[in-house]
Amino acid sequence: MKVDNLILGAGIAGLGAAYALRKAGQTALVVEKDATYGGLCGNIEKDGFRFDRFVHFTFTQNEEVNAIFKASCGELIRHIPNPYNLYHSQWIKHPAQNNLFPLSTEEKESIIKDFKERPVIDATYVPKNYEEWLRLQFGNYFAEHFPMVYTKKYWMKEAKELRTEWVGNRVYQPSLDEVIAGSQTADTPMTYYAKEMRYPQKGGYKALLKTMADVANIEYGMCVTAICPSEKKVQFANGREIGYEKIYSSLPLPIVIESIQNVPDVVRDAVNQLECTSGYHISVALNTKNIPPYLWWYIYDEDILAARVYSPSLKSPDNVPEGCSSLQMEVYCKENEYTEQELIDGTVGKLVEMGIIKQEEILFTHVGFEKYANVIFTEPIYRARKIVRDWLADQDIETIGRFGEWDYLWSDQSLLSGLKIK
Amino acid sequence: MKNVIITGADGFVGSYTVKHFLAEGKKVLALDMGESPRRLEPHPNMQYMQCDISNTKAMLEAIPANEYDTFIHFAWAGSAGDARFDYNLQMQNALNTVECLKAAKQLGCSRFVCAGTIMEYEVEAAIHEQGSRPGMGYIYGMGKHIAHCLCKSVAANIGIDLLWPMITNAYGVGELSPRFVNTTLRKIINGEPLQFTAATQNYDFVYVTDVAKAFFLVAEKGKPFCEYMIGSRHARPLKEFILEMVKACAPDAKPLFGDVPYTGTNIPLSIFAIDAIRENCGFEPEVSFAEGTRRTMDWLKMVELKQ
Repeated sequence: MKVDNLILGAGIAGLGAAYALRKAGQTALVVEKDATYGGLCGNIEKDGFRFDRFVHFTFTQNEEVNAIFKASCGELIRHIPNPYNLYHSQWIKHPAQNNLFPLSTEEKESIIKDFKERPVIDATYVPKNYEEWLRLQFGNYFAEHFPMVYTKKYWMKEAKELRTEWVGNRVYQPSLDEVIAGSQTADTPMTYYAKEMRYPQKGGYKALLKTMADVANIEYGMCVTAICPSEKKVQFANGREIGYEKIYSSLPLPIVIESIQNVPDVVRDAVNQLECTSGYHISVALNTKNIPPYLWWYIYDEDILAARVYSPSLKSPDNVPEGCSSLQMEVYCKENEYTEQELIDGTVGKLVEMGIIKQEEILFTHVGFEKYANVIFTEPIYRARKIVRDWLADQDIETIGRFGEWDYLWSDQSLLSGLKIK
Repeated sequence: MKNVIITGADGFVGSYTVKHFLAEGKKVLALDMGESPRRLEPHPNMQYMQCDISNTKAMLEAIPANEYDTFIHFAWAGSAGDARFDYNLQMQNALNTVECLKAAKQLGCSRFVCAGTIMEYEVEAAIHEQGSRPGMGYIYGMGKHIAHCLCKSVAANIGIDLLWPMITNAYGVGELSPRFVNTTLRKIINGEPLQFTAATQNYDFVYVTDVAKAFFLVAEKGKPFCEYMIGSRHARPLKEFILEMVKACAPDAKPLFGDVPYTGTNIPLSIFAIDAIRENCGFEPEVSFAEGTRRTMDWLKMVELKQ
């Protein structure tokens, strides 16, 4: 069997690529190792509860993306983001830097003092790493107690190991006046980077992909074992072999390189320099609707394993049976770093200890692992990924999506990565 | 002016200055730390001498007196990177400068020309501003400013003319230190994102051949005990320089402004004015920023290819 365009992966980028090729009058075959489409935008269903796999909302402004989403599931639920932070068992409005009100007077004074005492830098100065960026941005006390702690939990790295170019609008940069104002009142303006978060009424995040999946030619259960660019053939674990003219791959770059023989050393060295986070989602089904009213919250306390908690039931009531609710906690770590019991004790157990949920309200917990969660911006990332992607492009393998571009792409950007293929 | 001594002669600005003086028919004694020069090429009117400027006693023994009329001082350890924060080093540089001034007098020079920096103005502003907290990056400028202060009194006292050209920002082919223009160009070459502060601070950049010419003109025509700003005559907010560089060198790149926290103060454009050096010395800069960055980029690409 031979196809013109072979797309690896039926996640949001792969489906986007298939959609773009179809629009351009070309045919494409999408191959997917799982039994359904969606990839990281997919979900887990159990006993009437639905849990997304690390994907959360869309807040895209892109018209093409919005048109596809609308065609998939009509009008979306619109949420005004109200994220909170859990810091030393206190709830603090997000972002903490300009919502210091609930903290002790002593701690507020330390933060504001260090904020005022940030060193003056020259306009041409570029901080050497994320830690230095944070210290320059927030002063030492806040940097050390909030984002540097969170960085370890979310990025699995010390802040000093990270570059800074990915930060952009993802971290709010308040003025001194805003910091002081936020320390004096709880009534502060919303400063989150997205003004509105949208989510399908039914079917979880995955439902946004439906219109693309419906028209795509997808074969499931196809796990790539070998790619041979010289013969233009791909072999699969089920014994199938497919010839191609061109590949669009949304697989993580390390997987693509592993499946090719005779890769030059310089490319292999480069792919070994790419780092990404992995992590567990610990999902909790509850027989009550009495949970914190926040769509999501960040946890700064180091004794709690989770970095973030989302509520699938607040995203859409369709994600739970009537009268129930759900939470999903995110623990970023290496595979098998913790046992399943340790994961549950360090997340669900802590929420019970703090009285945020009650043990008897838990219907079940579910633990899932994602090997590829987000790319980490360590020093060599730009150089290394360019070497890998350029070499693959020379082999007629174009790489797309978060782990194909090896970039911090949100879901809409991952879709655009597929839609914009030549 | 016939015969000159130039310290730091094998450095970035120093080596261009030596070449300029040679091209103008002057005889140059080039002093630097290396056993042999890395940048300077042999020339019949140039003598290279390995010299540790912190040991002026040895310098005085090695150099014949009354042979040279002008002493040009570039030698300064740690003008880029983290060494700018090293106050011991920067203080030592300032003391070395005063000793070189005295040595110049003993060697019979009538003029001492030392490379100052526009950062001296930033230092002054930051020091005198109530409640300001300058970063460690200011320490280099403080060292230069201390040298300037000390030299002015000592020169007057011992009877040698002091001239103090102040470089805004030199850049160009051959610059190896991690300074703004070449680090930005390297990022462009490596396909890295271009991330900056809001870049509203006033700035100026002068191509290195123009800086070398300015040093020559100040040495020859400058008025005793005067300072001269060496600029491009087109000082403006940093952002405009960045946009010009990107347009010339990487039209597809999208620079990001404001992604780096910035708390610095601004120098008024009047400080960057080069009226004094134009009127007294006849200096006119020639190389535009677009042209200068293009030349530098082509050179950096060649260097990367060789590696």
